[in-house]
Amino acid sequence: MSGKPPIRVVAACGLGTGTALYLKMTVEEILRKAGIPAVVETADATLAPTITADIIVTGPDLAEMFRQRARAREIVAVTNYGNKAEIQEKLLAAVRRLEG
Amino acid sequence: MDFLEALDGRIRILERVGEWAEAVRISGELLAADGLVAPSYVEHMIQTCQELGPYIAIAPGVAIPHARPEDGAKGLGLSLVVVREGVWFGSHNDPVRVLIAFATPDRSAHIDLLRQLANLLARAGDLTQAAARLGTPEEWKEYLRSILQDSP
Repeated sequence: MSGKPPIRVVAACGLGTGTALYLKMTVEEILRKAGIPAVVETADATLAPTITADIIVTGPDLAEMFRQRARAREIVAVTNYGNKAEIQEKLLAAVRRLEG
Repeated sequence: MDFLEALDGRIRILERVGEWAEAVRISGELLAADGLVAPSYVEHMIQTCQELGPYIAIAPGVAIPHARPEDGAKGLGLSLVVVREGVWFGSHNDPVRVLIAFATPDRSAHIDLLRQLANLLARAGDLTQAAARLGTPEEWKEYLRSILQDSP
């Protein structure tokens, strides 16, 4: 895995200060454990769709909004931020789609 | 900062509220009463949900109302509002029974609190059950202390 360039992930929420930061910590941990090199940043609802990222991770409401116009290749919608298994499953599925 | 220290007794238990904005307002006013935020911050907490949707309902039964540091946050702190009958945000995670509002003076001061929040959210089901069971702020403090201590 070490030869691959890191994927670019954006954790997004309305303001970029609360849930996005929370998601960033979880996403970094999941990708690190899965051995996937990644750069994870946070963004608010205005900035996130303009970033040419591989994956945006956010809640279902913003995901719906981003799907219309985001530049990211994959959008992951997390319903329950307390459920690490949900985040992991959806995130790693998106990583596999990138690779496939 | 420790979660309970950041909460500093700002706990309000309600049977019901008229609508979600009322619950968010009460959570913000608890912060404003202690000088942690300006009144404008409370308005921004509500506006954010009106403009961007109910994304602050981030786990089943749990919402985290907040605004930007530059919207009038003066200090680092939390408040807890429990709505025992639940309140509807129009979210997948309705009905919300536990609101944990926060203010942070910059974009990183609250990272430690978010980590502790993660431990609480991992037990969102527990939290909403506690909303039905616990009747006083003292009981909530005890309960939060016990689950935060249990967490890795």
